[in-house]
Amino acid sequence: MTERGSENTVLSAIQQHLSQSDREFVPLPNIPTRTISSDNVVNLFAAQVKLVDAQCVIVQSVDDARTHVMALCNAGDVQKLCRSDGEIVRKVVKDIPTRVTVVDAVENREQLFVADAGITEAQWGIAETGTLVLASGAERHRLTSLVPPIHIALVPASRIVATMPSVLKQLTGSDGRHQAVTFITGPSRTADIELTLVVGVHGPKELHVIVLLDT
Amino acid sequence: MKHPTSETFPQNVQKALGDTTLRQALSTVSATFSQRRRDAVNDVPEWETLREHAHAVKAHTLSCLDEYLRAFATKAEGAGAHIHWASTAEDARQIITSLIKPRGNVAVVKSKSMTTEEIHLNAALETHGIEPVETDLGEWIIQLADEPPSHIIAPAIHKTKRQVSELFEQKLGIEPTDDEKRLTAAAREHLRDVFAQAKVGISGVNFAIAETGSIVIIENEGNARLTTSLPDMHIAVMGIEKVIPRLSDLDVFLRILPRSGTGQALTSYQSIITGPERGEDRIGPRSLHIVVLDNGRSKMLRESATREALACIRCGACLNACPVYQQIGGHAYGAVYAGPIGSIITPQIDGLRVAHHLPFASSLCGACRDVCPVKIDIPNALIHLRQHMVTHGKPIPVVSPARGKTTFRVWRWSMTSDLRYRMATAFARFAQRMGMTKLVGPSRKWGHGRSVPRLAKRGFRQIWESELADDGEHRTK
Repeated sequence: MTERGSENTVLSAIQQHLSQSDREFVPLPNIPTRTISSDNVVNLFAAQVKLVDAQCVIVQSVDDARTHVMALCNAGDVQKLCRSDGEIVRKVVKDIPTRVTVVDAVENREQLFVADAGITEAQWGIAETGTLVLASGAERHRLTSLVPPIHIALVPASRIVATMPSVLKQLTGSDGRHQAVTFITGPSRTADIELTLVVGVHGPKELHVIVLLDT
Repeated sequence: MKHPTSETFPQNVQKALGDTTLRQALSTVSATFSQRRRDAVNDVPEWETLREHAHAVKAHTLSCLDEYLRAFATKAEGAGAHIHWASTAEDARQIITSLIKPRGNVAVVKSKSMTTEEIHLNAALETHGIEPVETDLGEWIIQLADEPPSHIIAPAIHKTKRQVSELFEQKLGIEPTDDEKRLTAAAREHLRDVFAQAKVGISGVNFAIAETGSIVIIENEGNARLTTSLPDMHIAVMGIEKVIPRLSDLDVFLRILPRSGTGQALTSYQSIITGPERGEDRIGPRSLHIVVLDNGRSKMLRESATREALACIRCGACLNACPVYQQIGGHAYGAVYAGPIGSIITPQIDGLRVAHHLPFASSLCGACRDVCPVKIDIPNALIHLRQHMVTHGKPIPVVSPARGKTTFRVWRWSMTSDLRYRMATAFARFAQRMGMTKLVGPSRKWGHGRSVPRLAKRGFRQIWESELADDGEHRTK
């Protein structure tokens, strides 16, 4: 599917310059193994999420998660909540009181721009940095986690890992199943004006993470 | 507006040195970024190991770059992306224009990309009636002001918030404010409307993964996510040097890049994109075009000194650490890539004839090399370029070799005799007392814009002889 037929010009220029170069063969180093000293990755994850200007609570069940989502909706005056097609998301919003209108963001894309909040899952949580990893092959998350001013993310405790390499390894093994993978650490931020931190420049102003111990 | 070029570097420097607002901003930026970087690096005890690892991964990839690029292209095409190869900036501009133009009068959004700055894409698109909107807050500010970026990480950092407020008042009609939250909110509101209409999104690429054919985009604001998710066409522009072998190599690069750039452990967002949307998703662009750009890079592969510079991951740490950049800022370099790393890259892109000042715009102090997260020996590459210019008889700026030799001969003559040294310092002291604060004679031109250090009233030797040496214990005679 190469366009314009100039592939050979770029690659052959590289080849030619390399063949006339003083290059020495440098072996590709092995991926370093990583360990962090923590006996409880869930608590570490929650602590790290809070360090990046986001909120995090640990709850027991889907029902507890729903209660917390309602509390967040009340606090943030959320009337329209966009949801992804994640399985746990659907369970949590299923019996939500009717004063909050739940909209399927995949079916009603234009609603994203007028919604007050978006709710998704995360396919992994990385404890070391408080990072959420959302993968499109498992859940259509891309705009729901990005466009509304508040993002609520549900993470089962069993999906929390210590460091990034184990996520990258699983993604490599997934053989291109996920067209878009998004790593999220805290809310959208900028410091482009006089280096002063401002949150919510293009993406969510608020990020609320709910860790579920039982799903 | 006519932007300064690297050819007029000495004049650019004079202008920058006289701009007190700019120098105030630069001093804050360099100090703040450097401190944040130091703190973030100190959190990682194995920092040196990470740098060496990243250096080795890049050195390996560059030593067989054609193979990794071919592997990347094959994988990316397998996932449905279109790969376009561009030897020159003009090739890249033509490719991108011909992708957008048939779609008629469509709204185009851009997320921050140094590579598209390098090929002067916006100006080229504008001649075809296409007006791309920059969506990174800093890039958008300088687009409104019609200025080039002055820093890799913080493009509008030379502007104060008062200047931003005046700009927004004039262009968007907002009330003047000194609250950066309100300025940012005004930008969000305005750009949301632009995003909602956008049909084409143009982005850069931080890393391209050979193993999976994925591109990786790193950011804080979310505008790159919007740019690469909302429009139905995504055009990503990358230099040939962006490819790395494996997805798992990202771990090390994600640990060093944000720490070196903004001092964060991780930026807010990293997007790993593999091909276009696949029908069932109904989210994301239907087509993904990846433009792979050479534009002078492949010839840097020939010699190890310049090949190393292709390992650059554009963190900006060397800018903040550089005593020259700290005084003159990004615009004075007259090129898209400023600072120490820019002084190596710009001559490859624009030619040494135009950029002949840049390899000399360094004191070779080595601060850039010390902070570089991929351990590029920047001073060594600058010396290499200087040597190349001298041995190839190219005109070199500042001093001619003959005048340089004479200067050092005079210097040696006065420094190697006690009497001549005393006479020289006595003369200098006398001259300063007579009110001579600038260099004169053949050094006058060189001394322009430089201040001569004040000599102490009495030299160390005088103090030693009259006071300290009386103490018999310390007398060495």
